[in-house]
Amino acid sequence: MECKETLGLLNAYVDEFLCWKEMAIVEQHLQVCSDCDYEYHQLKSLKQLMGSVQRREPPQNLVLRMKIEASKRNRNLMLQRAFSKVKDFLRVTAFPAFSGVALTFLCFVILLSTFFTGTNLNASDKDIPLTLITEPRARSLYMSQFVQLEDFVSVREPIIVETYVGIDGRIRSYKILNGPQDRAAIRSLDQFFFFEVSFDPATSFGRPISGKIVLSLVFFPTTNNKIDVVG
Amino acid sequence: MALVDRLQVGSEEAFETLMHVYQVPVYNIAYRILGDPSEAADAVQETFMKIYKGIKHFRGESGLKTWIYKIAITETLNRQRWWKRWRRKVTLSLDEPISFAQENSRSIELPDSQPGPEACCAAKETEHAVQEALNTLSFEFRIVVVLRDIEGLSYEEIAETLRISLGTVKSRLWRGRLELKNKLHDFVNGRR
Repeated sequence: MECKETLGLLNAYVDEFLCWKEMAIVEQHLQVCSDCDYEYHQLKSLKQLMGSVQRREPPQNLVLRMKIEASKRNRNLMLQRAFSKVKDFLRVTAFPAFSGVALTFLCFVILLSTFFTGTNLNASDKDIPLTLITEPRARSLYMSQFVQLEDFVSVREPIIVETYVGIDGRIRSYKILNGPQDRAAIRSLDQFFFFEVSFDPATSFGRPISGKIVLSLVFFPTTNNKIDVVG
Repeated sequence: MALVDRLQVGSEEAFETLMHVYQVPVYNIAYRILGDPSEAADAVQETFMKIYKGIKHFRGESGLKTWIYKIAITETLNRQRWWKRWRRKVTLSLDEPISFAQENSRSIELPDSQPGPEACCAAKETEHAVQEALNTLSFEFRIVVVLRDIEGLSYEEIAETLRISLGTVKSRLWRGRLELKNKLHDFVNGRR
């Protein structure tokens, strides 16, 4: 066996990582070659030197530190897991839930504005109602001399009329809920409603629509014949 | 129930056993690579935290020992990179192995009296010299030498731990030892 070949195997020989045949060949060569034998002993010494290095003892509190850290991280891990579960749950349900809430809110707002139309302060005639749906409002309740309502209307017995107002603000029809039903009274009321009074029509989202309003007609005997109307 | 099985079901006792069994070898590997006790302790801590977290994914394809060593080496290497970059020049550990040149300028270390002061001093001197020599080796040679000559792993275990071939283990060990032999010339010849 050549020296070069032996030197290549020397490391494994020191570690006894060769098969018995190779071990025997290297051993044979070392007995006859002093240079290779010197190298072998140096390697062996180095191995012994490395093996003699004392093992370092870790700090005494290391296990305790690790246990504390592990429990801390375990807690964090549990929190993270819970958080990610919530996140996953929300990811799945967030869109439908949000849509549901938004739709409910929208419906609620629309229905609410339908039921409660809000208060018109009537600050000015030119006011534009801000509520989504408004009811008809009496614009003019002028009563001319041709109407003879004072015979039928009094403070004691007001006439209560349900009127249907068209989009042009004119009354289309009416129904007497309480009051005189005789022909003369109806003629006077016809005269009054169809020719004398005018209304601001009801509106929906700013557009005029037909609507109804209940009026209570009370007659106050003054110098001018005056009809007071309560809507 | 095997230790791995107990670890995988989250047994704290099993984890404690694991720490007691492997903390010394893992600490020594980390210490021989980093050369700093406190850094090595941190590396051990981080290694065991990774083991604690990752034991559920351990499928037994490699041995538990090599799996732990693999994690320890990766963690130590990460720490070494960080250490080299940020801390080495600004921090000086009191327990750090000192070079012979520095030794005279430091305070005197009192050796443990049990094995005799001279023997203890010699052992410390040898250890410092070995550590100094190891520090000069590149990581790939150093880790193979440490695993083989200090931790006593077989060639196959080293190959499995480092995910390299058997031939690479042999050549790295050969070159690592050659460099060490030159650096520890006095010690090697003195022992013959």
